[in-house]
Amino acid sequence: MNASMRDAILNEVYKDLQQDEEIFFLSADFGAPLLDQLRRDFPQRFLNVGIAEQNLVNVAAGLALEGFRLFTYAIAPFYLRALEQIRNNLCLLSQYRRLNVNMLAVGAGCSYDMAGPTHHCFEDISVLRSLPGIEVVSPSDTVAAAAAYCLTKKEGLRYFRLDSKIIEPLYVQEDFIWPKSGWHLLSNPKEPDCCLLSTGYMSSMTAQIARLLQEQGIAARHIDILQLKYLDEELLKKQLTQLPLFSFEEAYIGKGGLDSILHKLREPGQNLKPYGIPDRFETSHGNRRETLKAYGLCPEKIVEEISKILIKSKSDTD
Amino acid sequence: MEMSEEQINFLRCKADWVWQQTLLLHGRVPEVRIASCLSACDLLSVLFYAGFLSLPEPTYLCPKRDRFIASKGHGSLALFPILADLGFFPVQELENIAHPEAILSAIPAAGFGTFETLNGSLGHGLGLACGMALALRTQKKDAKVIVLHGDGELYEGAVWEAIMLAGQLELSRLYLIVDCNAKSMLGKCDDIISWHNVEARFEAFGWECRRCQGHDVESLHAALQSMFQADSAKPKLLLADTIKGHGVPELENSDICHVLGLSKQRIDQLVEGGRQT
Repeated sequence: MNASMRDAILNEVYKDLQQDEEIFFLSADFGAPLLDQLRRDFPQRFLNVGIAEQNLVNVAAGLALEGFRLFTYAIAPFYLRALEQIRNNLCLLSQYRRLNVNMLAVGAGCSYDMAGPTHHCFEDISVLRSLPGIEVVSPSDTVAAAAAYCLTKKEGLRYFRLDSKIIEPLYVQEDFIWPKSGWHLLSNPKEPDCCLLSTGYMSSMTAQIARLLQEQGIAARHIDILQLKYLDEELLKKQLTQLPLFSFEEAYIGKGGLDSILHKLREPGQNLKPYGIPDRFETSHGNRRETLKAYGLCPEKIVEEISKILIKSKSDTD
Repeated sequence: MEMSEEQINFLRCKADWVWQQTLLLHGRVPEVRIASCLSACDLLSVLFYAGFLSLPEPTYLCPKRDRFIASKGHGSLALFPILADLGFFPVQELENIAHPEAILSAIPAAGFGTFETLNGSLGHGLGLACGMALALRTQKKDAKVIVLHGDGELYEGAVWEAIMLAGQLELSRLYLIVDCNAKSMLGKCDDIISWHNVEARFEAFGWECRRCQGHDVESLHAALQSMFQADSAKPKLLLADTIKGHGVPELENSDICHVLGLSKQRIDQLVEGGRQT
């Protein structure tokens, strides 16, 4: 599919608007070609609230209280401005009232590479995961993003962490069904030497890492983590048993993201090496590959490190 | 239509009772921001007792109700006696305030009475109300959405995002009532950011504005009646000029009365003697 995650979800919303009168779409002055069609054809249920993310969330909460299924649409890091609105008027209020609000956040990680650190978003996973009652949905390609749309049909609160770029496809089948577990096994060799766990854009880089490891004779199980809050952890734990773990996310290391899920699930003494963003802002200019490399995330370098770790742990065991 | 002498006396009696009951709530829970509550007793009494709100049954989320949002969370405890009196919960609950299993707390939660949303953290109510008013208009329902706000609360930037949007969308069934007690937590609004001629700012954003005396039931009644009967396409603002800590001289005379409390003995004395203004 030659489309971005954003287009995939907007396409599903557009189709659903035709049959469901209880959908309302709000944008914080953020657009897309598909959105032009949506707002032209459904002017009564589309509203641009202006560059006002706090009001975006509050108006969404008000509409949702009156029974609408809500979609809000903004650039990912700018949702952080509305943190208290998300906390009080979505998460806390949902303990008293029925709400269905789906925040579409475009610009996961450094997908807005050239825009620089103000437009990069490495905090959202841990910040949103710290709030009770909201799911963090992290599709890894366009097919997965379209499949994730099914989650919006149920009451609840969700933050969709979407890439702004078209990502190398991982799910080729158009009939991919979103797994109830919230994660998907992308590769599962018979006798894996390690387990790689990744989310979002990093899943395509991790698939590349898995291929490079294979060339060196290292077999890697690769799990794509699609939901970062209410995933089936027990089922996931069974896939991790006795394997060195490596996690990959375009989010800060050690601050409550994917790595902290794995810290909780790993056995005592089980090796876990998290790859992510270190505790600083990268201010050099570059494309995504270059920016990630500046943060220490380079597939070739990672493969080298992993093979060293695996050789060492093997010699320690022998 | 002007009120009869009997209606005026009825509203005055109710407002005095609400004022007394609110003081008693403060006696049970010292955390209640009493000065902020006392400025709103009269306007809440007139709003709820004079038939301005459609509340077909005293049950939570009753169909065909008008939506009321107490955005001024700390100062909306004066609603507790009113809601008990209207039958939303037993009057006994006023005695149980802030007990572990009680409905009532020092800042109102959602899920009972007329509390549609969560308040207390200021500056959220109007944005939610915009969403509700927009939803009701889209669904072709004619319920009103009414927000009680503080003037200090207007300092929150998110409020102005909502003010601008409401004017632009012509949310004509959205009504904002500001309890203009002219004091924030640390002092007079005039010494922080003055609200002098705030009407002009609202009007510039497409609102229809009114002002009244917020402790005079006749002035309040006339202003509310005029506001709810107005048929313009604009969202509507009522600025009610009030006194923070109304009826209690030591509160009225303090710039920081928001953080002041009263002893049980003083509360008994005030309840016995009535408002001293």
